[in-house]
Formats: sequence, C-alpha cells, structure tokens
Amino acid sequence: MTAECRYHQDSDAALCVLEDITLLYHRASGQTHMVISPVPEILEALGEEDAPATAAQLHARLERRYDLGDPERVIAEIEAHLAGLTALGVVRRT
Amino acid sequence: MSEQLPGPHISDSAPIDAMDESALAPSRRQLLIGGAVAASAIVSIRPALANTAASVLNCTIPVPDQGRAGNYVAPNGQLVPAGTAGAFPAQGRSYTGEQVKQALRGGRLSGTSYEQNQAYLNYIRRLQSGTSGFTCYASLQMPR
Repeated sequence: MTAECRYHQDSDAALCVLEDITLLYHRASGQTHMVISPVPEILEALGEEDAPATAAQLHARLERRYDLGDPERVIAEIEAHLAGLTALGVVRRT
Repeated sequence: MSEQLPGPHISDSAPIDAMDESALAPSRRQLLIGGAVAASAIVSIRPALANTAASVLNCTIPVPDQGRAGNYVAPNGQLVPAGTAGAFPAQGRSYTGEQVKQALRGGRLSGTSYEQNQAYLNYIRRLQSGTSGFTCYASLQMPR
C-alpha cells in the first residue's frame, strides 16, 4: 500500500448525523451507508480542505482534535478505512 | 472528578477523561481508529428499488392474447388462421416476464419445440401497445 495515495470526498454525498451513527447517502450509487466512528471523523477531516489528502495528512488533521495513539498503526488504519470508502465510491483516490 | 464526554467513540473503550489534560493544551477526545476495523465501520443499505425488479419479471405475456386464442402462430410471429401449414398452435398460455427474458437470451419457453419457441418469441417481439402482454414485454427492455 503506497503512502502517497491522495483522497478526496466524492461531492455527490449527503450526511445525516444521528446519535451514534451517521447516515451517508451517496447519490451516484443510490446507496445509503450507516457509518460509525471513525468514518465520519475521517470524512470530516477530508472535507476540511478542497485538495486531496493523504492518509498521513488526515492523521495530522485528526491529531489536532483527537487522541489517536501510535501514529504508524493509526495511519495504516486510516488508509484501510479510506480503501473501504473508495470501494464504495464515496471517496475517490487520485 | 472526571467528566464523561459525549461524542464519537467506540463503546467498549476506556472512558473519556479530558479533564486530566494539561490546562494549557486543548482538550482532545479519544478516537479509537482501530476500534472498528474498516470492514465493520460501514454497513451499506441496499436501495429498496432493487425489489421492484421482481415485480416486473412476474408480469405475464399470453401467447396469443385471449381474444385471439385458437389462431396459429407463424414462424415470423404473425397470427394466422388455425391449421395454416408451417404455423404452430397456440392456446393462449401465459408466460412470465422472467420466462420470456430467459427465452430471449437463448433459452426456451417451457412446453415448446425449438421452432415453436422461435415462433412464440417472434410473436412476442411483434406485440403492439394495446395488446395484452405488451407492457410486460416493454418493461423487459428497460434497463434497470
């Protein structure tokens, strides 16, 4: 897994935050996904800036607000979550 | 005296305790990145529209339509008087959209010989608006 993949959110999605889960409606596929932490936080960090970001950059953004733990492991986990979101089309890899 | 903060965190994690942070540092909530493995953090809901496909395929197409049962079906699908040489008898038996769809893909309508099947399918392909079964056949053509 290269460390330099950049991700940005597919613009065609609507989020609805409920108490413990977030609903993510992806218009292009017509699918709704129920997502739990840390996916909404990752998406929020993605949306902080318009330019695509790497997992490491997202980690840096999340680090400001959350206590995450061992950086190397966490960045790998963020990458895994991004891969899942990319497979759904919710996030795009450039 | 610690305070449990609300917010996104995995329920079986240790309690969040922001008050222990240095007063100078901004308090940060704990976020367990590895708490939910990537595969389990997302549950996808299949759109309800997927179910409408089933109702389309249960519609029926009679061969021929009830008003003209008793005619024969020529190989090209046209209805001809009973007894016409080379044409096939048809009693108005109905086939489901699913059966017709399979037959159009190279299968065979049940109870028919190869030539009879071709004749019936040609009859179906010639259906016009207003003839029983037309709507069912037309809906088979629509991309889902």
